[in-house]
Amino acid sequence: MGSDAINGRFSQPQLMWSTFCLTLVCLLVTPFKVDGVEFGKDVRRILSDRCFACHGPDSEKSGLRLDSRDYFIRGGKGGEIFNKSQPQNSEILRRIFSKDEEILMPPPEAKKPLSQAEKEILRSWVLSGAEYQKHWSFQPVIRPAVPSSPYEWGNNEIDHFILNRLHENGLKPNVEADRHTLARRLALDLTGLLPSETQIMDFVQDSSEQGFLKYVNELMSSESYGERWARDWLDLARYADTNGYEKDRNRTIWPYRDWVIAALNQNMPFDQFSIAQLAGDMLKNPTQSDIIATGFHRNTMTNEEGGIDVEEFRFHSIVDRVKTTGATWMGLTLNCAQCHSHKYDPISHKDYFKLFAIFNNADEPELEILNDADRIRKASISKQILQLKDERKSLFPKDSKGVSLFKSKFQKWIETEKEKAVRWKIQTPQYLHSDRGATLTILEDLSILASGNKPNKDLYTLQFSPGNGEWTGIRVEVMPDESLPFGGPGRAHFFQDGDFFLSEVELHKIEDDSKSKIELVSPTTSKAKNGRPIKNTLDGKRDTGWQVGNRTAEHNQAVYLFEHGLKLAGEDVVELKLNQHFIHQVTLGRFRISLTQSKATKPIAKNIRHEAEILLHKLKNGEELTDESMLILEEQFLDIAQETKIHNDQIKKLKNSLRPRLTTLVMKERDEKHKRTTFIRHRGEFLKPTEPSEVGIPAFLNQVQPNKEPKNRLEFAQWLFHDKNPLTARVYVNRTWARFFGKGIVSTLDDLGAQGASPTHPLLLDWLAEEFEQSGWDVKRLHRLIASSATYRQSSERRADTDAMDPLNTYYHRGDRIRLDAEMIRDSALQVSGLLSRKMGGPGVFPAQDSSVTRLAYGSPKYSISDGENKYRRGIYTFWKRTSPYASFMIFDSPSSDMVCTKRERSNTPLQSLVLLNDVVFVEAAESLAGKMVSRFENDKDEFIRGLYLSVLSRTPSMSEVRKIKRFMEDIEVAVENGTTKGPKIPVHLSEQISQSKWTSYLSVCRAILNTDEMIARP
Amino acid sequence: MDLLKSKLIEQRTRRHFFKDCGLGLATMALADNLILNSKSNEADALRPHYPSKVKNVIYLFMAGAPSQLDLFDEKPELRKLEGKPLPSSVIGEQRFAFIDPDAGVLSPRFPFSNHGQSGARLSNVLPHLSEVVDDIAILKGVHTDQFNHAPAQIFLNTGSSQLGRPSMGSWAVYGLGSDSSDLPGFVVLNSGGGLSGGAACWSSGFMPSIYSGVPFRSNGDPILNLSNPNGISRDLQGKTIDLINSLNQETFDKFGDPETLTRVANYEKAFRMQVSGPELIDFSNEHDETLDMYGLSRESQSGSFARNCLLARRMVERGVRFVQCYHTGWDHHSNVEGGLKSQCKQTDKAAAALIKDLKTRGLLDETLVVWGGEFGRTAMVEASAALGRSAGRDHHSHAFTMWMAGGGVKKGITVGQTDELGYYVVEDPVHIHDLQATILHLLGLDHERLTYRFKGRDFRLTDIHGKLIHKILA
Repeated sequence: MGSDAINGRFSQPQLMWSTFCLTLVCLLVTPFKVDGVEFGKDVRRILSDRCFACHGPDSEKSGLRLDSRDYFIRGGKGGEIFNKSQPQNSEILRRIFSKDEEILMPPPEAKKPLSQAEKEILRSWVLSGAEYQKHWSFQPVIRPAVPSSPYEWGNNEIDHFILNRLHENGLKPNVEADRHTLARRLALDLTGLLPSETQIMDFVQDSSEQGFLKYVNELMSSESYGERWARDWLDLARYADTNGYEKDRNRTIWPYRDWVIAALNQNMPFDQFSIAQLAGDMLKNPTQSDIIATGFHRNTMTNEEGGIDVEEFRFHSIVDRVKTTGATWMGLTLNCAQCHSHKYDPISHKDYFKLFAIFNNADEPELEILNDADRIRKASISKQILQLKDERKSLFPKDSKGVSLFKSKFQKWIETEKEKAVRWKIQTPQYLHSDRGATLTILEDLSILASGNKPNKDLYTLQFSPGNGEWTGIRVEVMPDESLPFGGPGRAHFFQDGDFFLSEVELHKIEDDSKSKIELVSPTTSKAKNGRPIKNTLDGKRDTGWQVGNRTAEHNQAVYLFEHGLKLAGEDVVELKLNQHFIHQVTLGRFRISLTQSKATKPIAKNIRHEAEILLHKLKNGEELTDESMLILEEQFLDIAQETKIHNDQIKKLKNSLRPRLTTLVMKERDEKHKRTTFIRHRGEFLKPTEPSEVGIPAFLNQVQPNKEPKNRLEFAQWLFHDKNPLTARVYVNRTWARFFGKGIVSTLDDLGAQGASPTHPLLLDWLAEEFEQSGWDVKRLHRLIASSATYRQSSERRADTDAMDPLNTYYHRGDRIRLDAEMIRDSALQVSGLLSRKMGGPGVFPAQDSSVTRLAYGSPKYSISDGENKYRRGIYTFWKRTSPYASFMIFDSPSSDMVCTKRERSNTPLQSLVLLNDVVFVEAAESLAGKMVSRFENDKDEFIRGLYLSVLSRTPSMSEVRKIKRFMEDIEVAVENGTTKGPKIPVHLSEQISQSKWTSYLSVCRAILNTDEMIARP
Repeated sequence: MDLLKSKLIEQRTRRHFFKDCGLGLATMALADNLILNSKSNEADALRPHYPSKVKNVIYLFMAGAPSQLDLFDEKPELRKLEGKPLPSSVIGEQRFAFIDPDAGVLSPRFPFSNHGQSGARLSNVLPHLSEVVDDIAILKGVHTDQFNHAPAQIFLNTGSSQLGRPSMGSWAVYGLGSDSSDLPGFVVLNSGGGLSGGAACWSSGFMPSIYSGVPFRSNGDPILNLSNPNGISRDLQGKTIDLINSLNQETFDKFGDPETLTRVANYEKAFRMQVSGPELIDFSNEHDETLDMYGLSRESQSGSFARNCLLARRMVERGVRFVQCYHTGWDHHSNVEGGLKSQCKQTDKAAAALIKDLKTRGLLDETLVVWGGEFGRTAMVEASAALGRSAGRDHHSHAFTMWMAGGGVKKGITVGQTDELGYYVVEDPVHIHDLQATILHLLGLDHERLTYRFKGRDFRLTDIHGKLIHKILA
């Protein structure tokens, strides 16, 4: 059943709740209902739908706004619309009910007429004083008094709140569940795994309260605790191991997943946990962990189809971040305001883009993750590189006298090269622009580095003043950089690793009002990929271009001559256009521009770096070089000499091995200079930017810190945890409650706004929120508090009498059975069969499943099952491919991780039966379990059944269960013996030990137990 | 009493997946009135809003986007303009996936001729479809919002390019349940390769997974996990399920949780599916003529479009509500001519055979067949030296062609017209939401009333849009 089906049935409790408020706690919460009309639910929607378009946050026709009471009372240019003393004579009612089309509001031409019912709602609202009530969840949390309970029941405050409501409804709590049940319930809820036989025995034997707490603490301090609760958090984070759309390529972000597990195991306070994930990169001196944590919002999908506009999908990812943040921390459906002002909650379209702007100022790089071993490894590689460099001279052959030929060869090289040397003047751009918003930064050596936005196509425009003289040629150096994928020089991170695609190069002289083209001729280059020669950059065709090839991380250059020379005066400006027209983000990453006036020597591209060529040119002019300069030349020579090739190749290999081995996706806030401007988008559409947006939060939440509106991610994250923020604590405790009870105090876990459900136990919700906040956001304490309540310990057996009074267990008159999450179903089957690996962390793994599952995904990728224990890891470590997720988890309602999931569905289908009966994982588990059982209880069916029940179902079987199973076993054994049923193959290691009939019956019983409803439900 | 109510709800929920076996409709309605508030998700479901024209849908999804200009929408003007760019007044500020706005025109690749009584003009690369033109309605004015494959496929299947919405099949099964007692109500077939949009195209989104499309596999078991484990005979499987259910009964007696009863029923159904699944894919009782008509032989390669078309017919015969049949390979950025020849060879005969076969069996009146891609292709040529492309067409979202056939749909008509360049729709535009509204309408569902409450909002397949394509409604 969907949560919402239940949702619809809260009208009764709602009524009681209002009455309750009116009578008991009117000091704390103002009643929302006005003659049955509720502002948040009924009135705001009508105003928002029919009036705000002209009289709301986005428009103020006739000076009138209706989106707050102050405006409403103020009226418009035409005067007041509300008559306080005689509300029945209010102008607004006259307008609404008028028959005169000139007067009627909304005006007929707006084509948004009010229905009669809507008019009546507005009338009753106006008559009762036109109050703009603030919705309950937007009011500050005030710690309610704990109801005193005259009844002898309960372990902590939670139970007082619960008991109070039970009694109001004439209900009584259920008995406490038996110790076996509690052992299983606690272990599954706290660790996602089953208790061991010893744990059960200990817990059953020590029935004291201390024994209970000891068990709870033991479970919470096991590392499985972090794995269980991390799975929950990853649903919110929409964690996945692939990019999402189409190609759905793999990504590495599992360090983020491991960060979540570790943080939960360390009991990191929830504020710290959240702030790190939202803005860890912006903390003062952030640690590697803080930055890894920002992976939370890097779990958005990315589209790598060839023909996309990368910026459009970046826009969608920000939309997703706002939505996810709203659901996870604020309990608000912020996304509704993407296209129009929110109909129910006071979030305007402008408010939405203010929040959007907060998330729209980050770049999305990968962080190299280094541990100590990596650092040692890198240091040692760097040392090896130096050694190899030092050795290079010794590679030169010796002459007959035993003298190394290095010197003579070096000298000869200098003699040859200096003749070709040209004096290049590096240009400093005074104007630098990327058409698609890439961040272009000028580095110390005057090269230009691209970062930030990474479009498919781009046009870089540079303007510079070369200075007085007659210029003859231009050089484009393309250079490696550590920040670029595969070391650059391009930005391509897949398919064309580290390469760029330069389609066209154009140079213009800027005249007063026009530009005159400078014809470029005789292009040369130091390197070009096959089929991508440099001449392509001058052919006027955008679909041809120059590339250097994959994974180069080298310096290369292209040189063009000016056909007619270029005479410039001192102030003249030229403009260079580098047009890059391709797909898959193959743009230039780092480059440098130089011009030359060389006439006698024809400038050509060479494999000599600028710094060396300058020196060669000096030598040519007869200048003396310092020793230091000579070393630079020597280095250059050794880099390209034939004799050193082996070492140079080796050095290149070693350099490649210095590249990051492990990275994770993170956020990086842009600096002030490169701040993005967010534009409000008409109807939320990417292609319809209107005016620039402010940065901040929805106005109605500004009460928290009226003078300090958050302006960036970090301030926003801290604001969430401000003690006056009414939402964060409520949202979190409500969701936590749902994890222990199967439903929230507010059933709509992601929406505490006006369209969300009303709380069934508002006082308890606020008490828990305050308790949680004041404990310093102590998550384990909250879990312990809930787990030790008597409410939680109730038996989930239904009682005919009370069930009729509280059919949905709204008041917690009993416990609830909850079907396990997909991962727990698999984990527990593997656990009882002895197959489960307890290895933690690391890259996602590929458990067994049929290879046909991934065939429907783009490119029909092969599915390769992991080896060894990786096949049997906990479900949280399963590699999550978005376009073809692990099938059996999907069948048991795992979210597909396309978007935030606050609550999983719990369906009940025949496909689930087929998984448990026939899926290879469960077949293997059954066989392994049967093997274990045979070894322990081969000769005694009663013992076997009892042992099986204890280890698999955590309890002792009933007489009738034992009887049923024994009868089944006898039937099977007879059937196999007389040949009417053929049994499955006996595993080799047992083939000596057991008969076919016995194996068949033991195995079948194990399969049956793993298939029971009890096995896959938390009791 | 409440236990009974809960059981009724459960029974009812299960019927989304399988035909209800135990309870009559009257009991269901009673249960609705007893239990469910008007705002509940289940309330409007499972009852057509008005009499259904068709019971089932077979959607032949031509993924990758076939070129309407070379198959259906003949534009002689393009022959005249061959090689020349389109006027900038037409192109405006538009974005294209790969080509530049000034790319030259590529003339239609094939001759067209008139067919049938209706005189519909089709390209000669569709010889088989031309035999059934009098049974289909051609929509030449379809347009969409998306021009990249994954978002456009997801948009067409779910009504939104953002992920997380239920797909058409999910809505159909949510709205009507299934008439099949031992097959899923919403089945996904695939040929030609993997799909750009991936599992989101048949996902139930925010609805429970019970409404998700169930992928049928082309090799081995038609449904994942359908065969027994090695060495487990049907007899042993049956006995084991009896034991499981007998133990589940004990659990139910103890806890009284209706989920347990549903579980019992699901094991019985799973056991039945293990027979009905293989029976479904066993073509041995099909006549040779039928196989011939689809272009299949007894030894035909599995996983072909033709096989999926025949499977689709067998499914609707067995009450499967929605068969989503994806065929990929229409993304002709290069050599659109050769690409279309090859794709049409794989699909034309079988798609036409499906219409003929359904008609012969009297099933066409209760089935809706829809054919089309996620968008269309440009009038301009796509050529790129760097990408090694020539004589192709790029993605085009403003106008493309689909066809429909079946109950409630006019036969032998063409609706919609594009300008002389085939660039924009000039008459009877059909937006994707209109198409979706019409499909639901033919199933007896009002797209404005078929809602599902999620996050405080009533969601629809058609978002806040969608108008019926009245001109094709019979």
